[in-house]
Parts: sequence; structure tokens; C-alpha cells
Amino acid sequence: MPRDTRVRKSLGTLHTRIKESRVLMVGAGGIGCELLKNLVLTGFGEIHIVDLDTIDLSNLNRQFLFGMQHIKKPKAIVAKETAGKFNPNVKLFAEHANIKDAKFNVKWFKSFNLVFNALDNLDARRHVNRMCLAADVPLIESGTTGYYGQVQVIKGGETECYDCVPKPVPKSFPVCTIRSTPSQPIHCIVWAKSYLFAEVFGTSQESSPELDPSENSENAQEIANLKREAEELKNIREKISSPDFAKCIFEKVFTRDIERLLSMEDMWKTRTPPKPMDYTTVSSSAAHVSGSYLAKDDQRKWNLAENFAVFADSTKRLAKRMLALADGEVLSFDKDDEDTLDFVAAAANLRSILFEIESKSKFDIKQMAGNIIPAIATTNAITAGLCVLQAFKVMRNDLKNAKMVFLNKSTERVITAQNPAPPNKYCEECGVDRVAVEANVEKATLGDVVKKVVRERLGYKGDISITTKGRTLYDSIDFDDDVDSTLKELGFAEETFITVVDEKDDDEEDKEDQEMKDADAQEKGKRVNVVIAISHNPEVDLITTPPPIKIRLAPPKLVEPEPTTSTSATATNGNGKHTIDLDVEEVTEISEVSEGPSFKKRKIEVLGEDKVGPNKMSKKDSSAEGDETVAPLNDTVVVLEDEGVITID
Amino acid sequence: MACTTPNGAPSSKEKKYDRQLRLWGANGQNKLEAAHIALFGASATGCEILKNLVLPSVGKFTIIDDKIVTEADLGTNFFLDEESVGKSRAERTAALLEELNPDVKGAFMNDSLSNLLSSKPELFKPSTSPFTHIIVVSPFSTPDILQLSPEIPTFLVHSLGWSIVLRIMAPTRCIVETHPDSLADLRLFNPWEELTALAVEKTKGLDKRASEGGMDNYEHGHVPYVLLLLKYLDDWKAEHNGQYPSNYKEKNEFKAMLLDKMRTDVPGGSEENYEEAAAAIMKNLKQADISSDAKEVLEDPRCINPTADLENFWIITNAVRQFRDSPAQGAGLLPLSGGFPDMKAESKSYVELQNMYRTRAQRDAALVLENAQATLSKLGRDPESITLEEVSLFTKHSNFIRRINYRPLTCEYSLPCDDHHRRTVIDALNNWDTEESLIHDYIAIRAFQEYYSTIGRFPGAEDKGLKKDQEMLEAFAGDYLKTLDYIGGLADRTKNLVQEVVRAGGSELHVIASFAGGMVAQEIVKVITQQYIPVNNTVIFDGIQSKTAVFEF
Repeated sequence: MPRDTRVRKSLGTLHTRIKESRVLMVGAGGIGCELLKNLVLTGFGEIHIVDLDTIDLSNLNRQFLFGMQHIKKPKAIVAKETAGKFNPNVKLFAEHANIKDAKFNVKWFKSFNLVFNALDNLDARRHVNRMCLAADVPLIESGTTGYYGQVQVIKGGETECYDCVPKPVPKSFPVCTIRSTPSQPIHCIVWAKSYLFAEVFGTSQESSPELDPSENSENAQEIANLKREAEELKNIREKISSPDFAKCIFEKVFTRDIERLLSMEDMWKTRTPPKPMDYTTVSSSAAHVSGSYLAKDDQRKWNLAENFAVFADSTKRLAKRMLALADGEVLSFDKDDEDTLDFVAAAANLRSILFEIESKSKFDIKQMAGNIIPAIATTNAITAGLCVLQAFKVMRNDLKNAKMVFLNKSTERVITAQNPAPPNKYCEECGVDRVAVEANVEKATLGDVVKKVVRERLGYKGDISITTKGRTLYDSIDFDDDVDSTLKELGFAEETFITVVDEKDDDEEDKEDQEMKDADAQEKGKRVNVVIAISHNPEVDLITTPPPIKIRLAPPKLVEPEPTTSTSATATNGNGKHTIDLDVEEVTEISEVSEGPSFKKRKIEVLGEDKVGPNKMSKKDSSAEGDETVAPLNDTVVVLEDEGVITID
Repeated sequence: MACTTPNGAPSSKEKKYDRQLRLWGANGQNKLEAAHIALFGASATGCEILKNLVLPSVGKFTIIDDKIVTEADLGTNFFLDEESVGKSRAERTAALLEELNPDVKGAFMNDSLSNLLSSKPELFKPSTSPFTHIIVVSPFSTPDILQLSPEIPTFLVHSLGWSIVLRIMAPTRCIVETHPDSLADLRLFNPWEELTALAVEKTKGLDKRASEGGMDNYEHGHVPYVLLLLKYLDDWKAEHNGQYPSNYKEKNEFKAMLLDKMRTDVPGGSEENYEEAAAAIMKNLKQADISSDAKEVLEDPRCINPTADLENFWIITNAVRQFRDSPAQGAGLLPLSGGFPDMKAESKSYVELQNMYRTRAQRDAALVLENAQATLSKLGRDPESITLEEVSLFTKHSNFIRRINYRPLTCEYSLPCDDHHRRTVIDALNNWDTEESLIHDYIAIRAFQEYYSTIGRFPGAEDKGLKKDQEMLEAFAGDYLKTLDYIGGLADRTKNLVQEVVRAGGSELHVIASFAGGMVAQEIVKVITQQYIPVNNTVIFDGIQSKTAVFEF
């Protein structure tokens, strides 16, 4: 009996389609390892793997394609080697690369029948979502955190896309909260990691994603002071070879800077003022404490003397490493690098102590500073299994029976499934029309794009603006400075997306206009945004014109933004928003999944009768929240129809 | 043990298991590493389950299987390679699974469940068995599984075609760390003296402007919402004959009263602490209650009259019961959890309030410990055998503790049919959603199990005789329904699922095996670590609908 007999029996005709398919898997981590095994043993013909990560010890509790001997090697390559052995009939290709690289362009994405996202960050997820929409390739998106998991089928124009529901953005804190008026442990941890560590051992960070400079206008003078302080701190680096290095840092940030803060009397009228620390007192209290030994005791909260000992010891260790580095090289914070973690944990706690804020154990600080998401093999296995089951629906062109699946820790139902939601008309990623042109970016100017493509070909008459990656290139009302610049000068590369926004005010438009489809009516209504993909082609004279398209009209302006709850992880205290609870699903920032069932709740409307098949039972009046809805079921039973014909050859 | 070496230094092991320690802690990890799992049936499903237990580091496993590896195995089982063909399946899978994690010890036996039940019965007696947990993967026969002891946690798994059925059989599970979403318990209707005093003190001048000697805007906007609620509840009671707002209407009136006191002439036009207070009203304005899960535990005979041989869990629940019943202690309430939510406040006043709850929780835990130690003495056990740490973990969770009494397997298969079982199946068949209920998967798989028990091979294994096998399975399904006195006959959906079982011919689909591996191992981990709540007692997955259902058979 040949090896694929069993799969053929169960999949029927679909098996052939799977054998001939070419799929892409982005990410070879927790879900990726499981998924790759499933894809290989299901017999997908050609599988491409892209991942930019290398293997770490903490991956081995779940990423079973890797062993101790693979630590520090590229995930994509090792995954391919290990999994490849298990089915000689499958062609595997692996790239140790960032999926955002220019070479992975729309054309490349178009070469796949299906894309799987097995990623761990929001940014890459959104990128792949965008590329799949542009290439019109179905995407299976997945994520896990602890016991939670989620699988979503995305097909441009037919289902919701990844960005149809806004995702919670990573937390940031006002600069002043971090630098002058912390009130919670996380403020001190961010201070130690993104300010103190970065200034002393790393790359000075004028702007860290965790610091929000926009909220500082109320106190311009304080900002200036802070800048000077940071400058002084940077200068301390010169003393790195001195045996007093730890003392220098200590007296700077825990004594002098605090004294200066105290002198800002207004600041402490209603707040508890911090207490500057005295080096001699603290260091003598810690005379008999071994910092290197203590650093290993990470579950317990250290006291003042203990924190000091770890601070002094880790500073020594880091200084030694700094001195061994080549010129221009610096250290960077890594939660798995004990020296950097010890320094951040001890410094954060010292600051907490002088501000009378609760201190934290090193174990907890590791999670808060490193954005650690709990992860286990079981959740990944379930999630990856669901990805492949959804892939079967997509490959069968049976999107209506595909499901959006949530995995949760409730025991009444292990998983909940719901029908994929229709696209959000207001979504900036998929609620757009798309065209593609080729241009010689060294010759063509922005003016050529505006005139030849946007005005003449796409027929825009009124006011428009053009943006790329959130930057305005052109605005017919007040910004045409760059019309004579070549696209290359404007930063256009091999493939660049620009968005044309119809700036027509739609307030006075009659509703009926929206329904009208003919070209004349289009002139009356406001159009949806149009994304133009411009690829560089040196053989083109200037710019090609796209085939004629009918641009859809924008939906009426949204009065109230759609309610999406994302409050589970945020709470407030003092003057900054933050999270202090360390429960598994409440993480301070978003990493392995960007949203789970806990983040995402929404109303599901039962399909109206007109949208449902003729023989279907409808659950009237049941709109559920994040709960299961019932797929339209034909009276004939699903199983056999669904699975195709029995083919036993 | 697992994570920490004697001097408290973390090992590289701790780093390796860091991501899961954040789910179940050193406690859970130690339990996992003390487990010895027996797997009967080295099918793809069996190996995928074991894989997900070997990776997080169970202590030991033993694979029992009497098959020889075939070419077809390679197509579904990731833990077999070309070299394995023709060799012992137990030996090869044990070797390849052991390679996954050097911290885990693997063993194998070329044998079968049926055979061992008679040849080595000591393997299955709780007092002599080396196994702490047993996994049996289909095919298995009904008489065999009925011989398994309900005292050893056992996981029976079918993974056939597109369906998975997991049945858990285990002695009573007592779970303290159920990991609820929040442990916060504000006791707004049941404040203790010190809390009331703090609320009075901290809300002085709340409703007066700074110019009239009251609070300035900054202070006013930073009074923690819990104190706001306590203060305004007092005001409300003064106007309502000492009664709390109890129903929806009154709570809304209370909310309006509270929001009326919010200062709106401040930047932003509203105060966050007042908004937080308003948002907390519906959920938190209530009498401190005891959850039905906790009540169930407190009414268990083992709690009411614990005996010396019982686990600490029952001694502590008894101590909590005493706490509840003592007017000087809980006076009808459970110990306070000490959990406290985040809120808008000045750091100092937040910590003060948080400590108020913590101190009360510590006081409650200390009282429970006293009760427990007195009970231990009375029972002739060492009073020090229960620690404050153990009690504190318990009192933190006392409103969320769970007891699961697993129904024995014998009830599921008894003749005449057990009444509970009969009702469970018939209710599902008669329910409005019967069309898509997974009860049909259960009936089809049950028919499969009867076929296998009677005929000794898979239905549909041979291409000839498919029709006959279908008829036989339908007959087994029909017989089963008859034992339930179900008069509806075989539903079309059951028939179709039976056909699907015949079509599978006893074969597995890798993706279903892999899903089963995750789902079953997850439940096993919950049972081993005694954390989170495992399924009671059967979970069914339908791979076509991507849907699960839980039944207590």
C-alpha cells in the first residue's frame, strides 16, 4: 500500500489539487513547525518557507523540527531539512529572509495558490495581508498565545481582511511619565530598558517606539532638561573602564537626576516626591551581598541592597563586554541575555524603590520588558491543524463553508467557529480598488503619475491626494512641491504602492448616487481609495497606462467608528496608560498574536434570508457575541458532498 | 526537581521551558516531570499526542504496540522513517519520540492492551502500576477498556476519518488553580470595618470644591474608583433606608447619581476615575456570593467530614467551610482573594488601597490555616503538613475551585442503559440543533467500536464488502439506540457519518491526527498539572465543520 493511500481515500479529488499546488508559509516558529509537518504529510506539492529568525533554546519546548544542535541556525533552513525527510514527493524551498524584502513582490506572491501566515508580529502580518490582497491570493492567518489560538481565512473582496478590524497598537508612554513621574513598575522597566540601558550600553534612542514624545507639550522646559540629562548620561560612557563606573551611573541617575527632579516643586505638589539615594549608604548595606549569585534567584523580589548588588555586578559584566567590542559596536537589550536583563531588572527596581513603587521579580520583569508570550506545543498543534482544514475549504473553492476559528480555554467548547465576516467597506487595506502600472522610476516624475495615470486614465477630475506608506506625496489643494521629482528621487524602489484618495466632500451627495453604477454617476460620488502598484521597468519610456477600470464609490461616511473592544489589556493609573497585571493573556505589547478572542469581540448578524440558500434553517434572532453562528446548511448532508467522490484506485 | 536547583539557580532547563512555565509555573512543571505516560497504540494520533507531552517534558513514556511498520504508516506518521519499515512500531516510534527531548525517558513493549490485561494485570492496578496516566488510541475493544481502573487517569481516543472522540476517565479532580480571568473581589456590599474607615477618610471633601475647603481637581480626579463607589453607596443607603441599590433600575439611578458628582469643568470634560466607577457598577455592585462550583465542593461529604487519609485539598476545603460558618471569621463569606484590579489613581493611594485588600486576604488565609491545622491535629496528622503557602494559594482561588467527579466508564456501557447516559444522548438527538449535533459522530464511532469489538477488524478495511460493512455498522448503531429506548431510528446524518467511517477503513488523516495530538495532550496536561479545567468527560471534534462539542456521558 503506497504512502499516500490514506490521504487519497479521505480527500478524494481534492488530493490531486493539493499535490499540484504551490503554497507559501511565512514563519517557521511555533505554528510554522506544526503547519509544515501537516503540509508535508498531506502532500502539498511545493512548499516555500520564509523566516528571518534563528533558533533559540526557549523555542525547543514546542518547535519540534529543531534540536539543541540547531541553536542559532536559521529556522527556515533547518525546518526545511528536518521536514523534507518525511515525504520525498514534496518539493521544499526555504529562505532565511525578511518577508518584507523587495524581492518578495506582488508577482512572486501571485505565483502561489495559497499563503499561510504563521507569524509572530503585527507588522509582518499586515504586510503579508496587503501583499495577498494585491496579488489576489487567499491567505490563512493564524496566531496563538498560551491556550488561546485563532485561524482566519482571508480572501480579498469575499471575506474580512486582517486589517478590517483594527488591531490594538503596541503601548507607548508619554516621555514625562517615563523620565520624570513614573507611577507604576512598567514605567520604571521601560525607563531602565529604553533609556538607561540604551544610553549607557546601546544605541541612544531619540525615539523609541515605547516613548511617545507627542504628549509632552505641556512641559517644554522639562523636555529640555531631560535632553540635557540624557546627554550627560551618554558622556558617562567615557568612564567605562573605570572601576567606579557603576558608581558614576548610580550617582547620576539615582542621586543627581532625582535631586534635580525634586527641585521642580510644582511636580510634587500632589505626587509623592522621590527620595534620592546615597551611594555610600546603599553600597555599604550591600557589602556582603553577592550580585552574581542573587541574579539567579529570579522568582523572588529583591530588596534594596540586593538590587544594588545585582546592579553593580551586571554593570561590571556589561562594561567588560563593551570594552571587548570593536569600535562602533554596542550592546542591545535581549531578554534572553542574562547580563542585560539583570541590569534592567535591578535598575528598574532601584528606581521603583525611590519612587515608592512596587518592585518586581526578575522573572516578571523579563516578561514585561521582553514582551514574552506564553507558548506551548498543544495550542500550536490545534491551530496548525485548523489552518490545514481551512486550506481544504479554500482549495475546494468552498469559501462559504470556511470558518473563522477561535481556540479558548473554556471547557464547554474547546473551539468556537464562526462564518468569515464580509469585508469591512471602510477598511483601508481591502476597501480599495487596485491597478498596476510599470514605470521607469529614473525618468518618470510624480507629475507623470498624476497626469497620465490618475487624471487622464483613471479620470479623476476633482481634488485628490496621493500618499505612500502614510506619507503625503501630493495634494491637489496645497502640496505639489514634488511633481517634477523623479520617482526614484522620491524613494520609489522596485515596487512601490501609492494610494490615490478622492478628496471630494461627500456630505451633500445623495444616497442614491452610491447605488448607481454607470460611469457618469461616478463623477457625482466620492470614489474609494485606489492603490496603484508601480513597478520599476527600465525598458519603459516613462510610465504605462493601466487597463481601464471602473472605480467603486465610497460608502457613506461612517458616523461612528465600529465598536471594537480592545480594552482587556489596558488600564490606567497615574498619568500613563499601562498594564500591570501579568496574567497570561494580558500582555503589555503585542507579539506572537496581535489579537485573540480576548481582544476581539464583535456582533455577528445572522445572514438575512435573501443571502441564505433555499433549503436552509435559520436561527432567527440570535446574534451572538464572539460566539458560534451556524453555517447555512443544505438539507442534503454535508459530509459526502463536501468530501467529493469516493475514489479508491 | 524540574526548574530550580537546590541553591535556587535557574538551569538551562528553566530557559528551555520558559514559555510554558509562564502558563503553569514550577508547580505544574514538577508534576509534569513526575508523570509516566503509557500509550497503547503507536498510530499517528498516538504519536502526535505523545509528541506534545514529550516536548514540554513529561517524565517518562512507554509505548505499547504489537504492529510492524508498513509503507502506509509513513504517509501519516511523522515519527517513522524509511528505515523503520518492517520493524517494530513500538520500538521505532519510541526511539524517534525520545530523540525529540533528551530530558524525557522512553520505553516500549511489543504487546497489546488485550494481551497485557490478562498477562500482566499488575500494570493496571493503581497500587502496582508504573503508569500515572494511560492513553489508549483506537482501535480498542469495549471489554478491554472496561477492565481499566477508574483510579488511574485514562484517555480513550478515537481519530477516524474526519472525527475525533476523546473520553476522559479519572478519579475526582480537585483543582485549585483554575486560572479564572480575574480574581478580583471588591466586596462593595460587604466592606469590612477598616475598608469603610479608609473610604470615609479618603473621600473627605470629595463633593466640595477646593475653594470651599474640598478637593482640588487633581485630587478629585485621582480618587480610586473603588473608594468612590464605597462613598456613594453610603450616600445612597442614607437616602434609601439603609438598602443597597439591588436591581437594574436602582443601579442605573445610582450610576446617574455618581456621574452627576463628576467634575466636567476639567480638561477633557470628564474624569476617568468616575467613568471607571460607572463602568464597574453592573458587575461589582452585589452581595459577595459563593459560586455554584465552590458550593459544590463545600457540600462534598469529603469536605464536611474529612478523614485522615484524604488529600490536603479536602482538609483545606473543610477549613474554608469552618471559616465560612464561623461568625467570627467569614460570617457566611469565603476568604477574600486579595486580587485587586488596576485603576486610575495616585500611586501611593492605589498601593494603600491594594494593601487594604491584601492584608484582609492574609488575615483570612491565616484563619483558614488555623482551622486546617486544628483539623489535622484532630485527625492525628502532623499539623505542619499544610503550609501557609498552600492555604494562601487556595484562599486566593476559593471562589473558583472546582471538583470534577468523572462518571465511570461502566455507566456509559452498562446494560440496561444508565439513565444519565440515556438522557444525555437522547436530549442531544432531540435538541433543535440535532441536524448538526456532534452526537451523530459519537454514535457512528460507537458503532465502529462495537464492530471492532465483535469482528476484530476495521470496517471498510477491504474494498470488497464495503456495503456489507456499512449495513453492519448501521445495525450496531441501531442496536445502541435501542438500548437507549430511542424510537427515532437512525438519522440520515448518523448514516452518513457511518459511511464516512467505512470509507476511512480505519485509516487516519495526518492533519486530523495532528489536531487530535494537540487537543488530547492539552487535556492531559491540564489533568497532570492540576491547573485549568479539563473537559468533563467527552469532547468530540468534527473536522469538516471545524467544530467541537463536549458531552458528559
